[in-house]
Amino acid sequence: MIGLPGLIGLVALAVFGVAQFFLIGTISAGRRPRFRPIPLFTALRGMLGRSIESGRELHVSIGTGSIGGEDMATTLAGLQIVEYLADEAAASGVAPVITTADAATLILAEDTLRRPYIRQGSLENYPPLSARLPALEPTQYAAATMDYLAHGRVLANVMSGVFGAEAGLMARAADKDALPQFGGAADPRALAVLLPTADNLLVGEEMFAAKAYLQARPPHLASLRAQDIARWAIVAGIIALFVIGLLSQAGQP
Amino acid sequence: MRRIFTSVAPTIVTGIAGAFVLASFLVPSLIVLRAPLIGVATIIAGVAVLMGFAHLLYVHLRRLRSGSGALYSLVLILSASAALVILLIDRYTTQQLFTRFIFQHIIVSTQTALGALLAVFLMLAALRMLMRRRGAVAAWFLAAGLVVLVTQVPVVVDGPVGSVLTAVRQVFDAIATAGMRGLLLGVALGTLATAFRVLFFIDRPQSE
Repeated sequence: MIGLPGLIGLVALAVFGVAQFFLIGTISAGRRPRFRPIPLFTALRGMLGRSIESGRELHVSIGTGSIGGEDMATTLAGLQIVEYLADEAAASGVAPVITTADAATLILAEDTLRRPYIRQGSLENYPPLSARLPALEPTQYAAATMDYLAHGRVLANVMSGVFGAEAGLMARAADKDALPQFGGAADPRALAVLLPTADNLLVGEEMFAAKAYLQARPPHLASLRAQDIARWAIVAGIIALFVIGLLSQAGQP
Repeated sequence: MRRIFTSVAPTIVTGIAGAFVLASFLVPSLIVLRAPLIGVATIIAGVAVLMGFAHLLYVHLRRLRSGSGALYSLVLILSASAALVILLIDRYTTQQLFTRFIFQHIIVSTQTALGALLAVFLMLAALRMLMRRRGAVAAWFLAAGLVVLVTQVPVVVDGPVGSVLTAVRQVFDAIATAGMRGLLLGVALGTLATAFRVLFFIDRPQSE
C-alpha cells in the first residue's frame, strides 16, 4: 500500500507533469518564455568554429559520475552540452574531445557524439576516439586530464558534470596555460574550486538548463519554466511555514 | 528494422525500467521489483568497465605506435596490465595482500599527494583571479575567504573579541547553510525535470 510520503511524491510528480505538458502546449502555440541570459551558453555557441579556425581541440569533461546511480541526472546534464556540440561537430567535421572517468558514461558519450553523424549519413567522418576514458577513478582521471590539458593542443576547457574537489586540479592545469574555462557542477566543493579559474560557471540548477538554452525546443523550455514555477512554490511554502512557526511561537505563553 | 533496435526498443526498456523503479519508491512493497534491475545494471556496469579498460589500452597502444608521449603510454600499458594480472591472481588468495598493497601504497599515496597539491593550486588560482578579474565576484570571493579564515581557525579567544568572532561565525554558518540548501533545491528540481523528461520519452539519451 502506498504510504503518505509516497502519496505526496506522487501528487508532486503529477502536478509537475501536468504543468509541464500544459506549458509545452502554450509554448508550442507560440508563447515562448524569456529566461535570463547565461553567459556560458552564449560563449559555447560557435566554439567548434573557433576550434576549426585555430586547429586546436575543444575539451569537454563530463566528469566522474555514472549513469547508473544518484549522479545520473547531473551526468545527463553534462551530456546535454555534448549533444549540442555533437550536432555542430557532424556539420563541421571537427569533433570535440570528450573525457569521463566512468566506463558506462563513456559509451553513452560516444553514442551521443556519433548519433548526428548517423542522422546525416556521414558515419565514415566520425572520429572514433573523440570520447575518451583517461582513468577510472576521480583523482587519477584529474591527473590524466591535467596531462592532456598541459600537452595537448587545446582551445578551451569545458567541465560540466559530476565533480568533486579534484576539479581544481584540472582547472589549474588549464589556468596555467590561460585557456578559456567553462565550468558547471552541482557539488559545492567543485563549485568552490572552479570559481577562481572558470571564466563562466554554471551553478547547480543552471547545468540542467543546457538544452533549453542551446536547443530551445518547446519541451525543454517548458521543463525549465516548470522548474521555475516549482521553485517559487517551494520558496512560498518555506516562507509560509516560517511565518506560521513564528506566529505559533508568539502565541505561546 | 534497424530503428527498432536503435530507437524503439531502448526507449520502451527505459520507460518500463523507470516506471518500475519509480513505483518501488512510491509503494514500498514493490521494492522486490528493483532488485533484478539493480542486478542487470551491475552486470552492464561491469561489462562497461571491461570495455573501458580495453579502450584505454587501445588509445595508448595507438599513441605508442604514433610516438607522441610514447614513454608515458608504455608505462601506463605495463602498469595497467600488471595491475590487472595481480588483482586477478589475488582474487584466489585468502588475504589479498597484493590488492591491499596496490591500494594502500600506490593508489592512496598518489591520491593524497595530488590532494595536498590542491590547496596550493587553489591559492594560486585565487591570486590569479584577484589580479585578472577585479570585479564584484573577486571582491566577494576575497571577503568570503577572509571571513572563513578568521572565523574558522581553531583559536580560542576569550572576552569581547571571542564573542564577536562567535557571532560572525554563526551568521556566516547560517548564510552558508541557506546557500547550500538553495543549491540543493535547484539541483533536486533539475534532477526531477531530467528524470521526468527521460521517463516520458521527451529526452532519449540512450536512443537515436
